[in-house]
Amino acid sequence: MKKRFFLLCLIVIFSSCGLPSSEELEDMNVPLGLSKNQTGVVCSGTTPTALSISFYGYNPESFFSGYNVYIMTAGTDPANEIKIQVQSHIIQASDGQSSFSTTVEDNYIVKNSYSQLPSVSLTYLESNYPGFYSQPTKITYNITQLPNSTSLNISTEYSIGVTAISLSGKIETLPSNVITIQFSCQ
Amino acid sequence: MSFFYSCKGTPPTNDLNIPMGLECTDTTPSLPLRIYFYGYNPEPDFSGYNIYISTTHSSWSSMQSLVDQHISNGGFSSSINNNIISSVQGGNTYPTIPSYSLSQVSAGAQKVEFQINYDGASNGLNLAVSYYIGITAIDLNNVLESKISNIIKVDSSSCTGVN
Repeated sequence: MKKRFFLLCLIVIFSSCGLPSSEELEDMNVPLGLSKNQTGVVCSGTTPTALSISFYGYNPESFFSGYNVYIMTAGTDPANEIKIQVQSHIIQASDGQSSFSTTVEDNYIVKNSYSQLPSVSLTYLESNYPGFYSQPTKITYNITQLPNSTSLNISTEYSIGVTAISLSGKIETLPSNVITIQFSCQ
Repeated sequence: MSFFYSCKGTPPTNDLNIPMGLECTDTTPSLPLRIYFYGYNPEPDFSGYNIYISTTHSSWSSMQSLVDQHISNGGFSSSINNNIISSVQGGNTYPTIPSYSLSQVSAGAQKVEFQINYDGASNGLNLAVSYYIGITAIDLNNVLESKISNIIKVDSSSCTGVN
């Protein structure tokens, strides 16, 4: 009986080693310095085709999956409105398990070119920014569609924020600074 | 006990968030040099930000080597003081930007603006030469310092990022 109890204790201890801890969550670097890339809008003549952003990231964490780009029509308090959606993205269940909110994902998080999350995938980072894991890196990203895969609306002002996320650990940082960009060509 | 230390729950040796997004405020720099960056440092013993400056350390890894020299034998070394801007001109008072002068960096990503008037040796800046500048977050109580931010190269004609 004592042997079984000892074995059970070892299993619990080792299984807890596989998931990122709260200390690691705090240690996951928040992307910072979000800004417009050049004018913030890619234009074809006078027609806007994409929103263009840049930010700085440094995430060598082993459980890091990429960056999520949050977007919404600009309101009166953009930073707080983005933060509320970020905090609503991970749903904590009473049994300790957590999951991602599809409502938040469908309405507020930009999908990558494979219509998946995170918005900025490891594949994108590794192919475009080879030194990404070794030092803070300026990352540029174009938003061509809204989270529900419809077109961006001309002349609309959008609020944008970025988070770092771990899909396996179901952890996400607070958002970067938040910016607003109007989807139009001057 | 060793297997406990291999657990991912072990507190990291350096858990200070790295300041990033360092840029010049003005496209064509002038004196005093105005810079800004973004910080998010909720760590309880966060003490502030150190601004590193050099005319010779022209890459991120070279500037990071200065940071690596800063902590020695469990304390802060004074050997690189001439590469860190003192909070008081003519002194050796660090961090360059103390946490008590900052607001909101513990609550979320925050833009921090700063004017540089003199270099790490307290000499007035001369933008006829190029300066390389980076920022770290520092914890004086626990002798911790983050890695250095992105690096900018500044002179009278331009302000650009370097790798």
